[in-house]
Amino acid sequence: MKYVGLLCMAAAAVTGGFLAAGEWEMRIRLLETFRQMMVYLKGRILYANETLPEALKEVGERFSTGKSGQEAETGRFFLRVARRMEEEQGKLFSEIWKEEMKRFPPELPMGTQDLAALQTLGENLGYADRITQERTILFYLEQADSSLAFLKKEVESRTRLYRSMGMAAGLFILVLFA
Amino acid sequence: MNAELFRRLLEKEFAGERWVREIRIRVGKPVRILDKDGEKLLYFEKAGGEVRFLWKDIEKTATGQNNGDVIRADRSLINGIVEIFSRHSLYAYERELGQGFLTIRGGHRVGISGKAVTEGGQIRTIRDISSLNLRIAHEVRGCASKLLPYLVCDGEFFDTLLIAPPGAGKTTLLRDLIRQLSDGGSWGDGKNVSVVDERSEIAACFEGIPQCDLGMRTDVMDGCPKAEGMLMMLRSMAPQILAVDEVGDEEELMAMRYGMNCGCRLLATVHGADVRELMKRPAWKEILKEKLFSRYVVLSGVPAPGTIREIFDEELRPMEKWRKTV
Repeated sequence: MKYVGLLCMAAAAVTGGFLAAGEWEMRIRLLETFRQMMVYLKGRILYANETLPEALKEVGERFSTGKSGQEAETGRFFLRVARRMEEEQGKLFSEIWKEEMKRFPPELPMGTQDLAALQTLGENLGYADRITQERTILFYLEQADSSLAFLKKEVESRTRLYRSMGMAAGLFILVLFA
Repeated sequence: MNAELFRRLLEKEFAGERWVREIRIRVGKPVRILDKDGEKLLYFEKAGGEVRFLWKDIEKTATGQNNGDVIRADRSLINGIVEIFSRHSLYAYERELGQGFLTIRGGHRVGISGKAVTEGGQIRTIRDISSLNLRIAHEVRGCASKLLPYLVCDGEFFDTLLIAPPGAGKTTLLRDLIRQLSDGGSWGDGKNVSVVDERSEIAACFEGIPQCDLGMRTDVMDGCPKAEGMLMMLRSMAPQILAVDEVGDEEELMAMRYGMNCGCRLLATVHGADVRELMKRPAWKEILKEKLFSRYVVLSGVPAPGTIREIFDEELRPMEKWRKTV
């Protein structure tokens, strides 16, 4: 019985390590999805001259269909903002954007910097002319790119680190209590 | 008063039976509403925790400063309203703003005045917006029924020009003419009608779908400059009738002429009090001389929008048959 318990504890430590590593990978995936969505959003605004609710709805649908869990969250976020813009027309776009950002699930792996960049985008989108929209989105893309470059550089070593730490912790538990 | 409350209260009013034609909002001035009975001032009343609008005839109320509850527009109200109308996307209305208006959902036109921002001699946008003029679009089904027999012979539609001053109901009449020509009726079979709706007023397209009924054989090119749109429709949609609102500049007249020479019938509107006034404009004088149109319908806003004052044939002779019916 003792050994079964120890094995469970060791397995939990290893799984924890893998989960922590997986979170980093998910963070990259989410950031990449947001990046891709912004490129599409730029296209809808500049090429199709769509208003924000139209563009957000279009892009949101594209990125939430056929996806589930955390991966669908980015698309759903756009759809929620678009719906509220239609329902609460008198409310500032930046407020809706901010409020909907707060509705991200707490377990969504997004860094403080990623969230801050997203919030800044929401504060400036819709303001002034088309060139300003383009520049606002390009600014976000630049930030996302530098975040992604950092994350991609770190992810390999961190993943290895978290996984090794998990396994080491599991072995340590086994050695210590066996 | 903030823009959201203003919008909600107005929406509530519109749900009623009121026939609003125009709402004028000017910085520091009372909000004025023009309905079928005349000009009104807008008040608001807080009763039992509920805020609602009150409309008072302008002659029954003093326009002076002592009406505490009269709604006076301020800059933030105007800016808020423009934000709502543009769906927080002013950038998407750059071209319209440069022309001094926005067309909002439902095909209503919002005229804007303020400080024009120019670039290279062209108006780029308008800032410091000081006045808004909301012109409410109406869909009056059947308003063209009386007119149609004068515009059609043996099932063939005559090239027709509707002439009217602003606010005389030409777009409303045009819309119903398009619908009836497209659907067909006792006068003949329905026709393929192509509509070039530069200002989104005729079809009131929202996300590409016409909000007004333009008939089952109608194709709409929304938000497209008229001259280019007419040529595009001719090339791509093979229309039997081409419909455009408020033609005026040289390019548009050229495109119109081209369409007429392609075997397509034209239904167009133009600003003007009557045919004589039109004759004073050189480009139109040519068109009238060339007898490009076979029917001229002159509208008036008096006693009510949509009043048909006169119908002329291609020789600019008044149609006696119509006169007798009036």
